Amino acid sequence: MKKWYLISDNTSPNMIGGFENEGFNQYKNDAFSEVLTTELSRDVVLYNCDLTNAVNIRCVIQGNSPDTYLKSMERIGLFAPGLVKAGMYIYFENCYWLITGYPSNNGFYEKATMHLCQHKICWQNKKGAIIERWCNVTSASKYDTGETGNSTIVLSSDNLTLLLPNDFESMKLDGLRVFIDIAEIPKKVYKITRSDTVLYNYGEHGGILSFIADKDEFNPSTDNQDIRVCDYFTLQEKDDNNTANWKMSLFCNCRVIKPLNEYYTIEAKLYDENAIEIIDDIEYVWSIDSSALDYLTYIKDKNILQISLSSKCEMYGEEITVTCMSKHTGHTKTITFKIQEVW
Amino acid sequence: MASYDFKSLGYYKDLLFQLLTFSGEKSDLLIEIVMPVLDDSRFNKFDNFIGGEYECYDGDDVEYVKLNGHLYDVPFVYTTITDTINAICIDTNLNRCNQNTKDISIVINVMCHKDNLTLDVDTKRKFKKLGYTGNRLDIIVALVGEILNYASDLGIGSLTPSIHNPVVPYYPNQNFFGKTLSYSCSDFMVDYSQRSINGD
Repeated sequence: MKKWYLISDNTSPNMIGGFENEGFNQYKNDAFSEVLTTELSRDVVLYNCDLTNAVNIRCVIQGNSPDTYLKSMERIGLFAPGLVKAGMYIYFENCYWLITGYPSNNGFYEKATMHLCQHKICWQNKKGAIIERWCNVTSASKYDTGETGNSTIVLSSDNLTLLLPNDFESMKLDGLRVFIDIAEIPKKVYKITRSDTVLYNYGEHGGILSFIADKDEFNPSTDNQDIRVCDYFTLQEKDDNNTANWKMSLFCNCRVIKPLNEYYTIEAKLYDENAIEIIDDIEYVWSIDSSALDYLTYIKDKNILQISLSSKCEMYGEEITVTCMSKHTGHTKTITFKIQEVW
Repeated sequence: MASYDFKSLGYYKDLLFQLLTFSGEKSDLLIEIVMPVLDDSRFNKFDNFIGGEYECYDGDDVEYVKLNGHLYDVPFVYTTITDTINAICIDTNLNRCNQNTKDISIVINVMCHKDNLTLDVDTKRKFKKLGYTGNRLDIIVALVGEILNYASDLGIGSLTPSIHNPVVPYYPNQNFFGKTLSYSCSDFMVDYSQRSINGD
């Protein structure tokens, strides 16, 4: 570059220097960095999807003087290239804004559209953890009357579109019920009925999820208004003492097995201390011991075991021992059958 | 001149309401299974179950409270439903009448929100101990049936389930499932206990 008395090595190139393209490439990032130091830009906080990581950055926010109320819930952010991804949040003006658009780069800066997050929805994942996400909510049924039904029952009706970050937890939101209500004691419950996972998936540039929330009915038995979580459950730690008085029983019509190629059915049942059968979440492990194993065929299906003895078996008087164990509680029961002649 | 009296249509509803609500232990169970959580905890279970308009006092403040209830004297639910409720609707009609007697049909629609049909483990266990099994709707139907077995004050003889289709499925709405219980009862056309000796 031509030396000039006003130009030093650190001086950015100007339009008459004769080296515009080279200078542009060398200083394009600096140019935007310089903008970020001016009043054109502002301090914001960049968050990841679950707000666990935050970093203070400067960026240019455009669209601050919108012409319509819908536009007023949108902004455009100009960021240093490679800084943001769709699905991240920008916090400014005391609000969270979700980066919804594909962040595009023109060499100077990266531009991304953002939508205002009006509501924070909460739900519980299968491990019992409460998940919270700020989301953008728009009406998907603008001209709905708010009621649907027939001559017998009329239900409230509404559809909303929710935009959320495309992350591991939000992916599992489909089918769940959530409060979407800013009242101190929330009452309006919506069920997530449609999940669009690919519409706004931008690959390595992040992505957002679009859901349809359909108005549902509040269930006072399961919806927890205090923590604003629908279908709330508590996971209890397994306590072996609780099952100490449980008892397992095996049911079978007889204690002899004849070599008929016919199936004999044995049913296992687990009872609690009040002799109430435990049905849910019990896994049964069956084992069979006999010297006539070669002649035995069996079918295991949860708490049912079916055994059959081949007609070729002549080991009369031999025993077949069947044992069943409840895998999680350890309760075991054994019954013994004798092989008996057909006639 | 023949005299026809249709007062009993409403009178029977009142009687059935009282039977379902105040039949001791069975009613307590019925209220518990129909209304597992009080709609408004400031009121007792009977107020919540029957519904109505109340004034609730908190110091000097008074608040108008309308409880929708779970017992209806029409075959539909009055208000727009925002909760997962369960309800019992009772309607009475006349099947046949002459100058002396009338046959009254009683239709009881029991409906449960689909989210409420399945019972939690504790409730299931409790009702199983008492001899009631099945889902919430099955238990409500069983309890209503048991309570109405004692409806001896109704009509001539007793309240009897219809010979044909006494209990049939009922689909009031896509979010609700129910059962329709049909009963019939014969009664005198005129309430003779209210008549004077000379027949007036």
